[in-house]
Amino acid sequence: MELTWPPWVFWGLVAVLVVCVVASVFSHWADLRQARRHLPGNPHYPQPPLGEATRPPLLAGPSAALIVGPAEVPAVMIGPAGSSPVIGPSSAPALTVVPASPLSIEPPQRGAWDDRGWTQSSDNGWLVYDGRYHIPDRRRNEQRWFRGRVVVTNSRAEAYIADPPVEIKKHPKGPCFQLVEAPWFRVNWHHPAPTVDDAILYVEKVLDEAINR
Amino acid sequence: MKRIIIAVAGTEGKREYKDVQILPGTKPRDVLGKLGLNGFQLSKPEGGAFGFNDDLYQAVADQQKIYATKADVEAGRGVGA
Repeated sequence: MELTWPPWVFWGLVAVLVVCVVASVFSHWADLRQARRHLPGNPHYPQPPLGEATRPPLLAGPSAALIVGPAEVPAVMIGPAGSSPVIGPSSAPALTVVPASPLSIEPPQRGAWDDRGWTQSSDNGWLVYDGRYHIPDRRRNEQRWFRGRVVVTNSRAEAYIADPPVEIKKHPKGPCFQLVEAPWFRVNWHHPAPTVDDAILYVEKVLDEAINR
Repeated sequence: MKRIIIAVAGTEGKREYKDVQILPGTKPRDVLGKLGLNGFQLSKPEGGAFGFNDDLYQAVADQQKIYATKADVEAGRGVGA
């Protein structure tokens, strides 16, 4: 369907358009004319009164560059104090601490009588040893001690025991223990003990067999 | 392994076998034979004597001293040498 306008509408629009264009042109021309009045040399430019200094024109342009640099004030120096302590090795002699060397004590050479706590004395040129025979009683769980004496003469050790245990009566060697003077019993030898150690250890062997077997 | 000291009785400590090392199952006769102590027997530290076939390893403590005594010492009834 074809749209058709009346003629008067078309010409009306044209007229409005022309008016707008003319108005715009006129306005622009007016502005230009106004600006010229303010330019020097323009007869319409308002002249300053005679006798007054002419102010220099205000020039607008890029400002001088602002240079930011280090302040002229001397910088604050932060550092160690003038009298700073010096840390270093002491001039004093070093103290060296080392582990102490252990003290080693070795027992001297000693016989069995000495190890068992017997004492030695001399009587008319004979060596007399006094001490105690020691036997653990495993049945009673206790230790039993019996006074003893050994007299060494001519490479022969005579062994004595005071108050021997009653169990010795049941031992085959029980009769060999003969009463000399109460409470002392002497051991009769078949093969005598040559040294005090052999005598003591033999008597203890017999007592152990009598008590614990 | 245990270390023991075998000291010969009657020598005032002059005859000792130090650092004798024994293994489990060692018997007194093993030690005496190794040291050449024929005719000796080992005494127990607490008193008495070891039998030749006793278990020496179980009966001794480490570093213990054991005395070897003459085995022919014997008591008799009124018959002395």
